[in-house]
Amino acid sequence: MERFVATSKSGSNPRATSPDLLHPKNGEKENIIADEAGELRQMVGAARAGDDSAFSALYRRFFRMVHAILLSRVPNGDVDDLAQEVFLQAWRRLPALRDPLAFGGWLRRIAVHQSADHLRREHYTEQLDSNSALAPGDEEAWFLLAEVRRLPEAYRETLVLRFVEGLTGPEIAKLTGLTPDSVRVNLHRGVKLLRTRLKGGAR
Amino acid sequence: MMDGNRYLWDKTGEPDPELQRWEELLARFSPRETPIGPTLPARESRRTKRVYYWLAAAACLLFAMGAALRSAWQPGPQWKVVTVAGTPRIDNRPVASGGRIGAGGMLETDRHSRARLRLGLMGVIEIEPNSRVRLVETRAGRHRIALQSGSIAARLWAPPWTLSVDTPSATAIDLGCAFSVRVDEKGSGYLRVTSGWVQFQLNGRRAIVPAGARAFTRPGVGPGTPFFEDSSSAFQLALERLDFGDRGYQDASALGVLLSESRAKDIVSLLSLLPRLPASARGMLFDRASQLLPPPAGFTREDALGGTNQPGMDAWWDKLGLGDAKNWLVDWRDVFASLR
Repeated sequence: MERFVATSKSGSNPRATSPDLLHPKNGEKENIIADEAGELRQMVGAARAGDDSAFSALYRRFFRMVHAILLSRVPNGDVDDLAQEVFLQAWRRLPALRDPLAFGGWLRRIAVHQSADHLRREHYTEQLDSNSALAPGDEEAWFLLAEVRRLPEAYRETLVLRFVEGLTGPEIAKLTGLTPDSVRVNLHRGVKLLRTRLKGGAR
Repeated sequence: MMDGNRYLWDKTGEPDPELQRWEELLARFSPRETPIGPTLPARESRRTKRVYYWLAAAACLLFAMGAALRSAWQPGPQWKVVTVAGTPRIDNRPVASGGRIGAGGMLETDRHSRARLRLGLMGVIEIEPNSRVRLVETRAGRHRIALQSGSIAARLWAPPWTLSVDTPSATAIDLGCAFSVRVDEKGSGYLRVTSGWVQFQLNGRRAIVPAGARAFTRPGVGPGTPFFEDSSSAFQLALERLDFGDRGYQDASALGVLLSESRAKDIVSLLSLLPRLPASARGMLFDRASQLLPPPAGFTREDALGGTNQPGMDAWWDKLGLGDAKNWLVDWRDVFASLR
């Protein structure tokens, strides 16, 4: 039987983040983290047992992370197709995932491998995107993205999540499974290096 | 924490204009909506997978057991020889503990000694006193010994045609059973079958001997007609005259005695004898055999006289109910008897 993974509701803003989640009141933070962990465990468990609606929920929650990981590595035009491949692989391999709470990091590794395979298959060189048909005003954006892609792996991925997908540091940590401290370091060092390069510093 | 750092971390505090500019530029690479997800293929349930794993494991186990059994089944190039009594000799040397004999080797027993040949799990051959046996050939699925004189008793659980026993006047071919063969110094002897069937042959002359029956053999002639051991002496003597007497199958007197002495069970001998007789004598035998066990539908007296309707003869044999000569698996008890 073929099943489709549902998308977000039309008209909703996927970049919107609840202020309550970002700024919980004192004493509520631990409860929220515990609730989210329980919810993730439940969703992964159900998806592992074959529940495609639970997998749809995972897809909605983690799509932006996968998109960012791929965008930081492969041409923009290939990202959507590859993202579908990543989630298909995740669906097939999900029964092998032992710790449901490790889903984000596990999915991230699938995306990284998928992008590496794709680049190997397609024999890409450094030039990832053709910018021959740029809309007015896009040139600066393409240039900035190209510079982000030239950053070390850990920085570029975190910066794409922050600036392309619009996620905050805590959200990035939650999705990728990285510690908040790692995310903070990646953000600060990545921004610092990017600023240096944009000012014509060391390449 | 500096405001710029805070804004970078969680978008709170004083916004950093450069970071805001980056957000504005790079946001265009973000999908406005989460696209439709992939079509999910049906996934096998864990239970189904577990069943597959178990089936695969069971198949592997069966394969390994089969391979091990097959390996243990065959006797290998050197057959194990066990001293049962006295001092048997292999190539004139006493059989040592763990003795073995290979192709070309000669095993001899004197009047005080007995030996046993072990053919892996396939069976055993007992070598009786005063016997000389040569191992002619041994390879997978084909084993051959030559009994030059004396007696042997074999018990085998193996597909037909696995073991042959040559004697100076005929060859016994195992069809999956237990049997004994005896020959004297002149090459005369007999085959006696206790389970299953054995084919006894020399050139074109052939006797298929069922359990409970026996067939003699003579040098230069070959195997005689099989007969049940509990048949009358007159019946056996008449048969011996027909098989090996001066007048052979032309001996009408012997044939008359044979037919008059025959019981229902002796139809095995009559049917074996039928193709050996001259056409002129077949009519009498057919009539008597038909009284003991009517032939199958469609098999006529003319067929018997002409000797051309082999399928009809086979159907008649089948009516005896002695079992299929090649159905060696039903004799499975013999292998356990042989391992004791």
